Amino acid sequence: MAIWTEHRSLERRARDLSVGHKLFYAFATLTLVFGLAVACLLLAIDQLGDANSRIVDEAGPRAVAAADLRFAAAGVRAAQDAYVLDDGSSRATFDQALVRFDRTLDELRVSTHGPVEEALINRIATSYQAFRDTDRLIWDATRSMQRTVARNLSSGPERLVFESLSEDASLLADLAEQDRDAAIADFERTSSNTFRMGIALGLTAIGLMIGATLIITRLIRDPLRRVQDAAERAADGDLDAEAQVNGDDETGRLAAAFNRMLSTLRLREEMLRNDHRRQETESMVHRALEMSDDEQSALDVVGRTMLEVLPHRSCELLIADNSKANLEQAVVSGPHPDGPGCPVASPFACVAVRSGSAVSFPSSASLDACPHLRGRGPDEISALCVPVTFMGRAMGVIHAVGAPDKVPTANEIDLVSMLAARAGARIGMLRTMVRTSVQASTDSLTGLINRRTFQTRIRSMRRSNTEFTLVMADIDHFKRLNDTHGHEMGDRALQTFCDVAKNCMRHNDLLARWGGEEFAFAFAGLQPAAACSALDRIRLELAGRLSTSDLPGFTVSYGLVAAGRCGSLEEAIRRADDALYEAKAKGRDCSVIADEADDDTDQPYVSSIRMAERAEPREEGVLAGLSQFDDPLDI
Amino acid sequence: MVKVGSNIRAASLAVGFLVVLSPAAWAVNSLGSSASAGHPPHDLEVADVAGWTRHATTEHFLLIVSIRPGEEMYTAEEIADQHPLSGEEIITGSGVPVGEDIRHVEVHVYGLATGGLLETEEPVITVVNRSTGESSKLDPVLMEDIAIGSPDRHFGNNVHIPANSDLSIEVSVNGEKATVDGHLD
Repeated sequence: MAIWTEHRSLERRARDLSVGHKLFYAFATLTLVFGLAVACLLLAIDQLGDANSRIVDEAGPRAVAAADLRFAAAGVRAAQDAYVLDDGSSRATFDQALVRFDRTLDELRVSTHGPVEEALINRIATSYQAFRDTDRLIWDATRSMQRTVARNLSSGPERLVFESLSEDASLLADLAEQDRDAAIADFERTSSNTFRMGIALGLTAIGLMIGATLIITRLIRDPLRRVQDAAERAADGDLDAEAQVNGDDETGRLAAAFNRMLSTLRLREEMLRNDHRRQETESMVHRALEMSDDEQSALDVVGRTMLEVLPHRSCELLIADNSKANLEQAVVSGPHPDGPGCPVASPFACVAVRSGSAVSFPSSASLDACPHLRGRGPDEISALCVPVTFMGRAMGVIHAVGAPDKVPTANEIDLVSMLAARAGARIGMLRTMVRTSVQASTDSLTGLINRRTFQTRIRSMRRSNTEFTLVMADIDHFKRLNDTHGHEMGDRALQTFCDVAKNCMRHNDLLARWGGEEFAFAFAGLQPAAACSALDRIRLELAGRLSTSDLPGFTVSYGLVAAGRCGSLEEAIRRADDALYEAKAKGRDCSVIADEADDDTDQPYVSSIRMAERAEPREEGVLAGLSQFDDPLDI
Repeated sequence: MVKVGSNIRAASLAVGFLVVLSPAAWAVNSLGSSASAGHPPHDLEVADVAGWTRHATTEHFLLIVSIRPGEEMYTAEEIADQHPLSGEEIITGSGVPVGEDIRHVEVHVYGLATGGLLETEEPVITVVNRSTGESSKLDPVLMEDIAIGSPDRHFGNNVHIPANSDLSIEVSVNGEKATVDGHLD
């Protein structure tokens, strides 16, 4: 286990080395291997040289010298036999043979090593000395002509000594020859070993180089290839293709940087996706809100959007009423049917509205949580509050709650903020449009629809073939009332008449201020006679109201026409106006039906109820022009 | 727990390492065996060749004194029985067996007047080890080399002499004495 741990440690340290260090160590290893191989080869070559030297300088010459010694000994013996057996010969040849033997023996003494060889040479030397000593006896006998003695000495002791010398010389020659053969064999073995060692070292060096190459390749190429694979996958769109990080070298740091780059790209991609989704959602919300032509439709869009953006959260839109003082729950979404139920009463009691931006609360139990989150129930909640504004003015808040410590993401907050902005803009604009439309279609003093709106609506009634009676009404002597009691009193008279008339009308009847003190009625589904009855009730109600107020008494004259009997709206108006003129002419405070007037009868239909007998006679004529709003005359 | 695959990989690395380095180890071993190739090619020892042959004369005799490694000495019966190809055949006397540091001392006696070999003049041979101071008198045996035969008649015997000794061999023939000195390797 310790070895294994050490191995893992070495492997980890090798991985952590920089590429430069890896290359350095690889080349250092190869250089070391090469150096060792060269050293071994040099050593082998040196040994080969030594072996060769042993042959050339030692064993070879020694073998030659030993062989020479043997031949020299034979030569000595032969020369001795020659001068012993041949009376006339001299010892010159023998002496030369002795010199040769001495020289050869000296050479051997110098070149010979080893105790056995030295012992042999000693034996040869002593035998040679004995030979020389005996030879003197032989020579003496020869010179004294004792030839038999000389021959006996030669064949006896001299032969004995010579044979001993010759045997030793032969043995020495054999040993020298063996030594030479051994040196040659040693040289051949060394040569063979050198060759094999060269092969072995070469194989070892190649193996080590291959191993070092594989290792360095594995340590450098493999991490690069992993980064390359990851980069190619990333280039193909797989941003999750992270490269494996092994070690702390350049490639490891490259892989880590690549992974960080991928992480950044993923983040950017996620941001782009969120932006795209947000833009799509914003575009959809925009289109949906643009198609909402009333506030309820816009609120429905807001509700559905809240459900889509925060599907698991209970959401609500609290929006201010026209007074802008009270917040009311306008729409809810999410799992709870009643919504979060924020108890905030007014826009400016809301923290988010006051801050003017989205506010999130991780926990309702937190010290800095919105006070309106407390007391919602036993469980903690998290909350998001986004103010809804229009033209910089607060008009509500989108409120969402969820599990504690799970606030919406930044993207969700962005979407809700977008929704709040869009909803505020749309709802605010719708309210403005409604207000503008009301202002354009109604009379600011009386609250009645104006003349144009009235015309539009009765045109619609005519298009739908709805039978109705058109009535033109005018307050009698209104100019005098103004002049006598002031315009304020006049305005109050107008408002009182309108109030009374509205109270006496059905919901589908129309009443408009035509201009000045002149009004127009449209009684749907009523014939003029029935409409006269309705007008009589108005007349009675007005009289009753005036009797209990501080207003001066006044009456109203009416001209009626069955609109269905007229060719056009303008004709109907003109005929009703003519009928009104007739009513004025007949003493005011009465109703005249145009049909009777158009029949050229002497007595048009006149309502029998005259509540304002005190009304003064007509002083001025009725202005019946359709284009005139204010009647300059008091009729 | 160490993974099995990792163990196998480590073992493979170790085997590969050994396989790669084994030729180098073999090469180094070859170098060693080459370096050992300086020893003598024979199995001879100094004791197998140590000795000498020296010459001495007296008034009437020429003495060839030799000392050699111990030699087997056979009787005629032993020769007939064993048929040895080397060694000495005992003519008269009894030989000392061969053993450690046993040397063969022999003296050939020739007459100066004739130059011939004398078999009847039995010498008295005394070996003096000057290195140790020991002196031993040989029980002279008349013998001859099995291969040479009668021309090699001589006297002598096997005697214990340690290696690396300075020797004096004293020979007395018919009252005439001679001494030869030498160093025994």
